[in-house]
Amino acid sequence: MRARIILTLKQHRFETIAITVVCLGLAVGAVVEAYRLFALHTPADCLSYQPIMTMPGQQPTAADPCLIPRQQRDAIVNGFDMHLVQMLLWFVPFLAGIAFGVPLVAREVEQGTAPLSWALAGSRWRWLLTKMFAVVLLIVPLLIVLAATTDFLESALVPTVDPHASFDMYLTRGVPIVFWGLAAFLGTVALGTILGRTLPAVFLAVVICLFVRTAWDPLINRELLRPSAQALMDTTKASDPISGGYTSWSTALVFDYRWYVAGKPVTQDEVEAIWAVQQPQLDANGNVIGTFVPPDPSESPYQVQFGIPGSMYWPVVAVESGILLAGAIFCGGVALIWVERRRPY
Amino acid sequence: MATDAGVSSALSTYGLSKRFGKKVALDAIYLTVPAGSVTALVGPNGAGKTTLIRVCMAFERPNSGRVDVDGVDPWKHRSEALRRVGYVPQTPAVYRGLDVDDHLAMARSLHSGFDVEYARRRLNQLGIPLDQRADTLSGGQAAQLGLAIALGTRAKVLLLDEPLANLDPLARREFIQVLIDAIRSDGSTALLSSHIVTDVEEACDRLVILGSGKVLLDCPLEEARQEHKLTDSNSPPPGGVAVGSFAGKGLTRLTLWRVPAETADGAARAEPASLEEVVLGYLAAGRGTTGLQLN
Repeated sequence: MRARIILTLKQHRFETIAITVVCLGLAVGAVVEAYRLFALHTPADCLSYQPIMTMPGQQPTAADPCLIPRQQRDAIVNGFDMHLVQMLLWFVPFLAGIAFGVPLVAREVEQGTAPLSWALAGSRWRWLLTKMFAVVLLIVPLLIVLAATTDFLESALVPTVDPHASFDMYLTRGVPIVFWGLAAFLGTVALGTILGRTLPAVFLAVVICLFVRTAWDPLINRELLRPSAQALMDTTKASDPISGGYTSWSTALVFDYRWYVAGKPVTQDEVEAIWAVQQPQLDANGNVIGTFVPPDPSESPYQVQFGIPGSMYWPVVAVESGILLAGAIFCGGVALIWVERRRPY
Repeated sequence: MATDAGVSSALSTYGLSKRFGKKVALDAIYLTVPAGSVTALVGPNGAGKTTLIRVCMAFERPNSGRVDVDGVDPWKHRSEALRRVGYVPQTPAVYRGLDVDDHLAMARSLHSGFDVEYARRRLNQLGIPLDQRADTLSGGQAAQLGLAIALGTRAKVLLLDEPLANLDPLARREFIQVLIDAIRSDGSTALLSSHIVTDVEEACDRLVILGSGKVLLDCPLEEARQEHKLTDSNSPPPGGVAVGSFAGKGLTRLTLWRVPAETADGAARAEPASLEEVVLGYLAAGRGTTGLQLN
């Protein structure tokens, strides 16, 4: 077994070196960016600082104690390095999966080595399973390292919030990264096994990965998790957006906003009917027609956020990782069945 | 498994057919390769040689009929059958990133009975460095590596799919000699396909001619030599049955005759046919043409 694992990685020497360098390089990049942010020692009060609105060309007052710390922080958060790291975090799990998954069988078929191996191996599925195991042994630890460093980066970006109690960028950091990589790997093994050609399989794999990743939020978050949504604010009264926890880095997975009046849910039509009554009727000169009684503020409609709170991070991640793992196992199974029946050329 | 003559058979096919769409690659083939023999499987490109070997390796599923490799049907019991077979593919396939010794290590990890020392010894005898990257080997060395892997399985049956096709004359000679040496010392059975009969003549003791997916001739090599005569006219030698006509050197029209052994000595007017001429005669008959030309 040990010899097979070493030989598999040796056969895929280029991918092994490239993916190791990319994953570790990105992990180092994430740690460096995190340390740059921590090194600023930005006061906690300044983290939610909003610049005072000024007229164009007018400088904010220098007396503002948060101005300089916040500008320094923004320079890093909005800098090229940070954007590069964050962009790569989106791609790298897929890159690792595709780089190893597609050629695992397809290259053997293309380069004519499959007949050599399959003539020696009584069981092709066992042959493929060992190869898959060898790659999993390499990429899973790499992705775990990446997952840990990306959570560390998140804790630097949003220091007031536990990264494991927040849905901010949760699909491109932490545990989901490992399962995205695993799903991409086993999915593309199946694709490479079925097609038997590397380049077409790579193109198709890129398209499928992009589609799945893009469709994940509307399909999984919006549909599958919607029944678990709960009110994220007090439904009995109109909350102030800031004091109600609606911050720019909301930790919740927000699905939608629903209308309420005095603690009771109302429909959009009901809201419009209330507004129609509450609006004063004006004539052509702008005078109120009849006697207008100002509405009771307690009868005014207000919106309440619905979604999944950050405290549900682990259950949600477990469900989504489970879906990805199930997909990965299914694809791996397809590859193992297909390799038994396909031609080696 | 024993044949009708009581000789055990290493490989047999029973009405084996394989089609690719409308193209018939193998057409109800009955073939027996006796144990311990070295059988030349000869035929032009597209005759079905590679398909036959691939069916024996369970790379292709037959449409009808079946194959027995040392008594095992490879399609039904693949792992069992592959334990008994050593295979050398048409194109020497090597892993680009691996050295020669890695290939042997890989073979050992895949095939439980693989004899690494035996394979190493054979490669050492040929002066092929074990630490050389396989993708830097010459065509002849790569073919020798493929043969060493096949021999290292210590399989009872060796299936060699045109292993000489891409080799230069010297490499071909070396390959054949290593093969003969190994088969003689191991007592294994080999089915060696080629479209050039002179390449395999030296190594084989049996000849099977395949044309358009059919077996045109299946007999011991010596019998093929003794029982076939050649004339440049249509007058048959005594007891002779015409096989086929083809254009010989100088475009002389030659006819191949099959003459029973007991009357062959009296066929004074006919020339003994070389193996190449025997093959050409049968292929001409198989194609229903006289257009084949002897080089």
